[in-house]
This record gives sequence, structure tokens and C-alpha cells, in this order.
Amino acid sequence: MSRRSDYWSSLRIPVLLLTMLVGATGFSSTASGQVGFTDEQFEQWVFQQYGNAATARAMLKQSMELYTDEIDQTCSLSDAQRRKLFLAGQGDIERFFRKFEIVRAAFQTVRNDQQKVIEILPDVSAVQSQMSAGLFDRDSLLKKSLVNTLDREQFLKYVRVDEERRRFHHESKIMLVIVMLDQSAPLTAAQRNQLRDLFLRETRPVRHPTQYDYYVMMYQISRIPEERFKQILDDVQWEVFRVMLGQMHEMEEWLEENGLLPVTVQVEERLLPDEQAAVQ
Amino acid sequence: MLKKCRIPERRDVVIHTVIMALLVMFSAGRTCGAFPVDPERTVSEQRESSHVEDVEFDEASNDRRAIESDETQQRPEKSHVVVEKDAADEDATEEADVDPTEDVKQKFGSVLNALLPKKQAEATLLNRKIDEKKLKQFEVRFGRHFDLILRTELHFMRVVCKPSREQYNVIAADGMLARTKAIKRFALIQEGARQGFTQLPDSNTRKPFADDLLSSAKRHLTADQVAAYERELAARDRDHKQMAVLVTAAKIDHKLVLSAEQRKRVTKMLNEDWDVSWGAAQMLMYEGQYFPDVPDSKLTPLLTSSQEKIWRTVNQQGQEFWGLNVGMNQAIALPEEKWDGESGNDALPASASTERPDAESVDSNGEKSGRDATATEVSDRTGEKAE
Repeated sequence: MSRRSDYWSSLRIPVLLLTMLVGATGFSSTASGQVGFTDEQFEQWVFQQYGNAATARAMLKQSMELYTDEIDQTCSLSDAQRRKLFLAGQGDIERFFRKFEIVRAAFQTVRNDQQKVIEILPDVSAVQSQMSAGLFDRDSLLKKSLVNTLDREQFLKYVRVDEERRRFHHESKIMLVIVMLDQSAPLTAAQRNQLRDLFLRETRPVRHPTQYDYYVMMYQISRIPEERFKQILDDVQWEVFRVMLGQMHEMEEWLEENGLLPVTVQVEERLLPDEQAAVQ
Repeated sequence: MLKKCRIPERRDVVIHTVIMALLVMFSAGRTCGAFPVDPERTVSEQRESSHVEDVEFDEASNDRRAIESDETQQRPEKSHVVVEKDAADEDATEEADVDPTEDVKQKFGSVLNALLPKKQAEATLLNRKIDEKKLKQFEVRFGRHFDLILRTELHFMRVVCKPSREQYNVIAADGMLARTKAIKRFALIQEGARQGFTQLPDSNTRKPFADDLLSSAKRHLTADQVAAYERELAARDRDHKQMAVLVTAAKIDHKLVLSAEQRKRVTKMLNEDWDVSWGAAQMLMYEGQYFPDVPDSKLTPLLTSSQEKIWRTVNQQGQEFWGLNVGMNQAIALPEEKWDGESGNDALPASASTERPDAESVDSNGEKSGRDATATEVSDRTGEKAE
């Protein structure tokens, strides 16, 4: 197989975007006269608008404070609880920077070889995606520590607020998908409403928001039985949607590899059944 | 770390296809660097051709690079300057007999465009002359996408207006004129984006088709038929705006961890002050990375000081052009409309009815249910009344 074919075989969306970014920052002579990428360029790929690790770290700390402030506002934390959550959040930041350092070390060994740099881009992309999506999602130490840090009443209050937020995000993503479908084959207002009801019933919120949420939603929608669509759409509309949704079946492995599947709920599963009902 | 594994060939092509669909949207306004999958070609043919088409893909990459490198700066300045440079480079290699004053004219044009009132700037751009060769190139690359848009919009008009076969045919003929107009319009917009014009018309490719078909319907259909189409087009605009408002509010919420009350107020503000340029689908699709150019004066009064600090670090897109929104379609070829009877609607499912849903039903718990109920919920969120 040709080198070019190998390239296309290993193509991934984030890697593709990063490849573009690598091109943008340029493979050039360094100050020491050596040809290759610099540490500064590498940090720009990962931290994007934050530019470097120090700025990104400061921003992540601010972001963590927003999360703890919100929990405090909802649950009225004691000083001890706040300290515990702060430590958990710090742990998330440190965990992220440990990953970053591992990838940076790999980069430093290949920085003078453009082809080898492209080969490690999936790893760079994983760190970049995490940075871009934020560290304090449902799988973070900060969120996981809530169940043991908050008392039952506080925890229930928090879950209610979080659930409301999750629904808001989920509905917005469903509407985004419907509009994208509508843009490809127009729907009547009645059909849009029917699809919205169908998707709300048949899909679950993403595990944690990332830049690939659209694909996760489309993937879930592609698994809805064809008959349900055919009850709503006509033949022409279905033909267009069938092609679009058909592509998504093929993305399952990629979504799994990137930790975007399965779409599960973490925190709420720790609630007792009557508490789950209360949250709903 | 990501696992590295061998992927089946078909999956390669599918992932490739999805990316290309994205790039069609991303790149259309920048360099036209995309190639939709041709369903008539075999997978292996497509793989082979992808090597050739990499050239186009790389052109798109150049433009993407330009954006990304610009975004590495805190709260980037308007990035059209970089696009302009790329476009100038590309144009220089495209035509040897280029007018030496062209570059000056372009720069003058883009500066003038930035100074004019928005509507006037858009009209000036759309009234410019376009090189026939460039127009042809644009049509070759995007013609099939426009064909699908026209085909599906005509079908939609048929579902909504229930024209006779003769009425449909007359409007379809007008649709071909709409296609010609749309191709010129979007070629001009793309050209304007390349040349650094910052005040560009809406990049939604379907809207001009719908507008032209509506004009045609007004000439050839009854008032009731036209009213039905107008109602649906208004509902489409309203729903698309609602989506864009909610997605933007959700993005801001994800970044700034808003309280429930803040979320409501931000959603209301976005709904009231919405600017169509904030709703590029390509931007909305990317969680967390890109934000519309919502003025700080509107948003920051709704934020805490900690949230405000973080908001000042996000990538706002300024007057960035995201490319043409041709939908996520693959330019598939659809069969001609089937006509089982002169009413023209025999083949359509009952669910495609454009009648307003029945009055809302109330379930045993006294809760609203049914389509009206959900529509009302969404309207409540954006603070907009459903018609």
C-alpha cells in the first residue's frame, strides 16, 4: 500500500484538523539553526488560544473555581467541603498536565522529522480535545468526588441542577441535528416536532460535551429503527437522511476509541431509585 | 493515548466522506477545497481519486491553517487578513494574465466593503462582475449540491402547496433560473471572502432557492397554496433561529458554568439581539471551540466577574466567514417526483401534513402533551412566541 493510502487509512477528524494546524505553524529552522518544530509551536497546537502551558494552567484554575462556585451556590458548602473539591479539581489539572508532559516528551524526540510528528498527532489531538472540552466533566475527579463530599441532601440538590443543565444541552443538540437534517432535505414544522419527540425519546445526553457531540448524537440517531423515520418522513426525505445516517454506523469504532461511547450517566446511577424519580 | 489499529477499507472512505462533507461547508467560502463522494463511482475509484483531490483538500487546509494560527492569539483580531493573503497567493498562481491592478482593486474593494452599511456592502458585493472561468469552476465543484438543494426544495414546495403536475412543472422551470442565480450569488460571496470582504451576505444556500420558489409560487399558485408555503418558510426560519440561540446559549453555559437564572437571561438576550451571522452551522457544531461575535456589552452584564474573565479568553469569530452551508448532504441524485394522480400528493405520508397539530392534549396528570406542548417548551426557552 502506498504511503498516501496509509495516510488516508489512518485519517481521523481531530488528527486532520491538527495536521492543518501543524501546517499552519510551520516546519522551519529554529533559532539554533536546526530544522524542526519548537516547544512553543507544540504548546500552541495543544493550548490553541491560550498559547502556552502557563496561561492554560491559569485558565483551568479559573474554570475550576467556576465549577466549585456553582456547586457552592447550589449546595452551600462548608469550608472543609470546598477544600476537598478544590483538591479534587487540582487533581484533574495535574492529571491533565501529566498526560501533556508524556505527549510533549514524545514530541521532543521526533520534532525534527515532520513525518514522525504527524504520526504522533493522534496523541496530541487527544490532549488538545480534552483541553478544548474542559477538564471538569462527569468523569472528572471533581465531579466524582461530589458523591462522597456532599451530604445526601446537598447531592440531590446538585443533581437536580445538573440534570436541568444536561437537558438544556441535550435539547439544543437535538435541535442542531434536526436543523442540519432540515438543511439537507426540508421538513415541515410538524415533521420537525415529531422528529424532536422521537430523538428525545431515543437518545441520551452525551457523556461529556466535546467538539464531536454532533457525531455522537447522529450516531445515536442512526441506530433508531428505520420504520420510526418512515412514519414521519416521505420517500424523498428518507432517501437523503438514509445516506447521512448510514455514514454514522461506520463511525462507531472511532467514537469508542475516543471515549465518546457508550453514552452513559455516571452520577445519577449512584442515586437510589426514589431519588432518581425525585430528580426527574 | 489513542489506540492505533487497522481500519476496514469501507470505513476509511466513510470517515473520509464525513470529513469531506464538513470540508464542503468549511471550505466552500475559502478555496472550494472539497470533493463530495460520487455515489456512481466505486469505493476503489474514490480512493484513487482522493489522491488527486488531495490538492484541493490541501488548499482547504491552508485556509484552515490560517484561521487556526490566528486563533492562537488571545481574542484574535479579525482573521480575514490572513485569508486575504492566502487568496492572493492562490490567485497569483491561477492566472498568468491577471490584471496587474487587480490586487489594488481587491484591497480597495475589501476596505470599502468594511466601511459601508451592512446592507449596502452586501448589495455592492453581489452586484460585482465575476470572471466566467471562476463561475464555471464553482459550478463544477458545487453544481450537484445545488441540484440537490433545488430538488429537495421543490419536493418540499410540493408537499406543502399540493400543486398540480402542470403547476409543479412551471415552478420547477423557474427553479432552474433560481439555480443559475444562486450559483452566481454564492460564487460572488466566496470570491468576496477570498478577497477579504468582511460584510458578507448569509451563507445559507437554501434560502435563495426558497425565496425564488416562493416568488414563482405567487405567480402560479392560488393564494391559499402560497400562504401555506409562506407559513412553512416562516416556521423554518423561526426554528433555525431557535436552534442557533439554544446551541449558542449551551456553548456559553458549558464554558462559563452559568446558573439556571443566568442561562435563561443569556438565552433571552441572544434571542432578542440575534444576528444572523452568529448562526453559522459550522461554528455551532463545534462545542467549546468557537463562539459567535456576541458583543461584550450585551453579555458581560449578565456574568459574574470570574465568568467575565474566562469569557475574555474565548475565540470570538468576528466577521469570519465559515463557508457556504450546503447541508451535510453528499450531493446524491434523487429520482424524479412521482405523480400517481393529478393532486400530486398521493405518494406522501400523512405525517408530512402541514396542517397545524390538533389542540394540545392533556394527559392523565394534567400535563400538556403532543407537538404543541413541545413547541411551546422550546419557545418558552428562547422567549419567542410560536406562531
